[in-house]
Amino acid sequence: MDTVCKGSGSHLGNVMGIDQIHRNRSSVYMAESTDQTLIMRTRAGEANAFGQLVQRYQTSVFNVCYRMMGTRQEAEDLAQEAFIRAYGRLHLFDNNRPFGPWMRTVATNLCLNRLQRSSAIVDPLNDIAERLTTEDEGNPETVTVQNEDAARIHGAINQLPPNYRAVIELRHFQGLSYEEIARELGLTLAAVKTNLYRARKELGKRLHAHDE
Amino acid sequence: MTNDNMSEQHVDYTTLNEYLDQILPPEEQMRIESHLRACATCRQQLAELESLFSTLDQTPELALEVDLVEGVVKAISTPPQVAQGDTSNLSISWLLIVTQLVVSSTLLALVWPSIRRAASSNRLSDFAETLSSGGTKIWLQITTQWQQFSAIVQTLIDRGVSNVNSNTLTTTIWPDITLLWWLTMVIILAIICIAGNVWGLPGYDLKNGEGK
Repeated sequence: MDTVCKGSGSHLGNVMGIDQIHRNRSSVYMAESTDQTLIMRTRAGEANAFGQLVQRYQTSVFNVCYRMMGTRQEAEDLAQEAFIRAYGRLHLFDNNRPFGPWMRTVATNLCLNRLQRSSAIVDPLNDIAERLTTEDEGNPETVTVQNEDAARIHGAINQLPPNYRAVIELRHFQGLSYEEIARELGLTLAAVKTNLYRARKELGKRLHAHDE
Repeated sequence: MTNDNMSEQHVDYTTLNEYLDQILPPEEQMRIESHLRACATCRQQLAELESLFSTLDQTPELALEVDLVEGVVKAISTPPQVAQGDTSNLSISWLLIVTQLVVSSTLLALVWPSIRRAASSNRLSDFAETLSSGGTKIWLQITTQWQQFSAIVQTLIDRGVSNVNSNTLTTTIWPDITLLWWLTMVIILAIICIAGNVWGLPGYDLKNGEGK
């Protein structure tokens, strides 16, 4: 039974669903077209080349948006919007850098801006359409437990203010350094540390309270 | 099992975070490790923080149930069109331009007679005619000093000029400076509005995630 694990900074998930189908094709594409090549082709006017980038990163970008926004519908909408915005800024992207991390920070910033314009806090425990990425579809009990764990953690994250969510997302799910977070969010180093430590404290309390 | 070392202060929460994030200087890192070996309370706090890190690291990702590729490729392939909202913004912009032009024209109409009077070099002939009709010859001494109007009138009366009033005298004083100032501001604003509509005003730009 494979469970989805994520190391700090690099998500190595075992992904099912739409992405599974594309992944097999993607591995072929990888041999033929690296991200850099696809970006160059996109800049040359090939929209389908950007489509291949979307295929590769749509699940991870969707999960960034889900962790930030808390509902599947909003996450899907914002993930799509994030790709469109990234396309508009592709001419500014340094093609010597990896595309994935940059794409995920675009998504994070988009979500943060959206959250700051809206004060709604969503409880993803109510978003019952979640399904995890796991190969163990034959063990509903495991999937149920993982669903509950994921909902619990997402629920705790979604109770945080938007700026706390953003630092948790960038540090723990995208593996950015303090300096990189400060740069992406336009904060001082001290502010990043303060937000991060307070966010962790809050998260710890909420998760601990749920466990009791 | 070691006992709490009460001779040292406990590690504060911020330092514990920095220790786990490995951003402390090496000597500080070693000092903390040394303290942790001796202090069960701090070890407990560290363990809770580590547990939180682990929980976040192992948060399962959700499967994406829709394919974003088609929507994104369609959006980036479609030429930009003026949307409903854009049309209304365009209407507002033209309304502003027309308003600017009307206001500036009105102000210009108000100050124009003054400008004409000031710019005219022939009004003096009327004055000269008035002066001459009385059979009185006046020698006007040109001075760079500003004078009160009443002083000028008195000087002329003293010289025997009758029927001296503001209608028979002309001045080189510019029209009301306040009116001119407003006119200038309105014209500048009109130019900015027109330029903004022709070349496009800078729009709100989300961070592109690339950093500085």
